[in-house]
Formats: sequence, C-alpha cells, structure tokens
Amino acid sequence: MSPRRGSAPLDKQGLRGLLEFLQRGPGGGYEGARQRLLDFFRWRGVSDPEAYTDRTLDRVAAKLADGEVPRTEVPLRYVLGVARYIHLEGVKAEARVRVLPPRTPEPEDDGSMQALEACLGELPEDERELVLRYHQSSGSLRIRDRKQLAQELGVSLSSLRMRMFRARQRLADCIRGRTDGETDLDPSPPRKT
Amino acid sequence: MTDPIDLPTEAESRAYLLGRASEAERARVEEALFEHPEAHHQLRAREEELAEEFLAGELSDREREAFEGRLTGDPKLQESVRLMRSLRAAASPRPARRSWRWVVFAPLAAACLGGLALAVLPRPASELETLTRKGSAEPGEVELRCLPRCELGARLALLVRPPPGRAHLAAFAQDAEGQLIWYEPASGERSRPAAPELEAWPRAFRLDDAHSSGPLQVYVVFSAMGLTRKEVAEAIGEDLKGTPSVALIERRLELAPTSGGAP
Repeated sequence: MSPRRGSAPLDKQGLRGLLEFLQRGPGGGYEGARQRLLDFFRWRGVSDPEAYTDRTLDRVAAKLADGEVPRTEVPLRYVLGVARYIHLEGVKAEARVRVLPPRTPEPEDDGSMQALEACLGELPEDERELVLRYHQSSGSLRIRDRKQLAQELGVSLSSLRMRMFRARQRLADCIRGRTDGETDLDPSPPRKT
Repeated sequence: MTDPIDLPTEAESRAYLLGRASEAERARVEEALFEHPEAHHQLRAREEELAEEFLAGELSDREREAFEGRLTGDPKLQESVRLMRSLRAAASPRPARRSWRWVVFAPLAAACLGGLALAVLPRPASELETLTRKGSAEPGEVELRCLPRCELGARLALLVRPPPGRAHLAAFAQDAEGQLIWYEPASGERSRPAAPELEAWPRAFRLDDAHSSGPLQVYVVFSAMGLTRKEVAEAIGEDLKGTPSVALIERRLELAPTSGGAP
C-alpha cells in the first residue's frame, strides 16, 4: 500500500487547516499526532503504519476543508476516531490482498554495538554511567537495583524509567545517524582526536 | 474541558502491547494514547521493557509467542530489541570476559586495521571453552587435519559441521606470540556457508611462513550471515560481553619445524 493512496494529496490550504486544528489542543501539534498515529497503527499490526498515518491525516484535513466541525474540543480524540475508521477500511482491503510480513532478520544480524559504544561515549559521563547502571541487572535483581538507583537520585521509579526511555531514544537516534554516516546525538561539531 | 483520562496500568499496557487486550481495554489504552500527555511515551517505554524481558527470557511462554509474533513484522520493535540487547551487553559487568575480549578482540581489531606487532597475552583456555559452549546451544563441530602432518609448509584442512542456523564459517589462528593469521574469509570478502553435515571445508590453508613452529590456536567462528573480518571481530566482541551472536570454537595445534628435505 503506498502512502496517501485513496486520498487526494494535501493542498496548501488543507495542510494549513490541519496544522491549525492540531495546534488547538495538547499533544504536540502535527508531529505529536503523527507519532501517535504511527504507533497506533504499528500496535494494531498493520503492514504499513506510515501509509495508514498519512491517509488518516489526509482524511482529517479533507474533512476540515469540507467544513466539518469536530464535535470534540480535543483534536487528537477526533484524529483517533478517523484513525479507527481508516484502520477498518484497511483491514478490509488487506483481507482481499494478503500482505506477507517481511522476514524477521536474525536477531544477531546486528552490527550496532560499535555504534552504541561510540554514542555512549558522547553522553556526559554521569548520564553514561547512569544508563549503563540502569541496564546492568537482570532477573529478580533488576527491580531492586532500579528502585535503589531511583532512591539515590531522589526520583520516583517511573521518573527514572522515563529518563532512561528518553536516553535510549537519543541513543537510537545517534546509532541510526551513525549507520547512515552521521550522528544526531551531539549537535556540536565533531571533535578531532 | 474534557474528562481527564487515566494513564493505562502496567497490566493494561502489557496486554495491549502484546495484542492480548480485550476490546474495552484496547479502546481505553488508545484513548489514553491520544489524549493523555504522558501515555504515548509511557507505552513506548513499556514496549522497550518488554523487549528487555524478552531478551532476558523472562516472558511467559504465551507472552513470548505474542511478542515474537509482533516482532516479525515490526521493524521499529526489532530496532528496540537490538538496542536493548546492545545496552545489556555494554552494561554487563564481566571482568573475566572483558579480559578475554582484550585477548582475542584487540588483536583481531588490530589485525583488521593492519596492525602487525601484537603483545603476548595470557590465554585462560578454560574460559574460552565456556565461551565456546555459550555461543550456541549446539556449537557445531570442528576437526583439524594437517596434510600430510602438522609442520610448517604443510596444509591445514578443516572438517566442519556448523551449528543450526549458523552456517557461515570464518577461521583464523593465533600463534604463541599473539600474531593473528586469517584463513577465512579473504580480506574484503564475507564468510561463506559450510555444508550442514560434517564435511571438509573446500579449501585447505597453507601453513606458510606467516606461521611459526610451536603452539597454534585455531578459531572457527560460525555465524548466521556472511561476515567480513571486521564484523567477525565485532561479533566476537559481543560474544565476550555475554550476548553471543556467533559460535566460536577453538582448537589447538602444535606445529613442528619443516621436516628435512622439504623445500
């Protein structure tokens, strides 16, 4: 399924209307909506979450352009409603055209260890130590050690989890950047060694 | 304003992320995903924690099956699994293995970069045996044959049977002085698959003047995919950190000087 199939491409006015609508409520505007949609469709198990996401946003924009006035004050609630509808449509279409999932790559087909080590090396030392310590334990020790770590830092366990989640996001971005030949983690110019 | 929406509980999130939530649960989690300011990141964080539990073998059978089912068609989840695996490896406190990493990985890396002089390093063979077994539940078989006998100038043949799922063979040796000698793959090429049954590797290796008489440790590395020399070194580095991705087998030879008369 190609992106935006079944929807008219967004014109300037449609895009402006969509952006303004999404800015009205919390949730990070267009990008926040897009990220939520990508995960919504991914967790629904569709074959191409990006295409579904684009179709949803196109549909929302088209409805707004047609003068539809959402009955909810929360733009993302409206987007969710449209996304569910697009999902239903897609499920019917995919039932007709069976989409085979891509083959799972071997989990060991990795090669990112070196990039991770480089990206860890770009973190401030305190943060790097924290990330490594957080991911050190396994099994029954994990919860105990993480609780202890949260106590030492004077934060709740859930705050620590979110902090580590954000750190992993940065590392993932950095690894992706490195495997593409660039790094996103450190915005400063590369240091000469 | 709107009615406040609660964050999903841990149990609800798990069920949702594993595709095992009821319709009502799923609807509630999705509403939170779109309407609660923290729900999206919290669900993403919990998904990564599931990946961590998956790697640690801590999911129940049903959860693991559900997770593997999702993993198949979800590149983003695959990326999370890779990141968590690498982080676990980077964080794992294994001083003994780190010393091993130094023993094998550093000379390998140096050799990949064209380094020549390598220090003589201690070789705790029993640890490598442990590692060899850890690399795979069934590490495969390797037998060495010197043709006609184990001396300089002779040929070295490998009789191999790869472990299931790791057919590609790389091979190198390290002499008593720590010098590395690569046999497979050729420089710039990738390792090739061996036959599934116990068979002679199609190429025998000349025990040429890169070798010296004395003990020679021969390493055979089996991997799921074809690897370059550099990738073999990286994979061994990961192995030594406790996240085996290759099966590494070590064999030892005693090379005699060239026997009289042979050129």
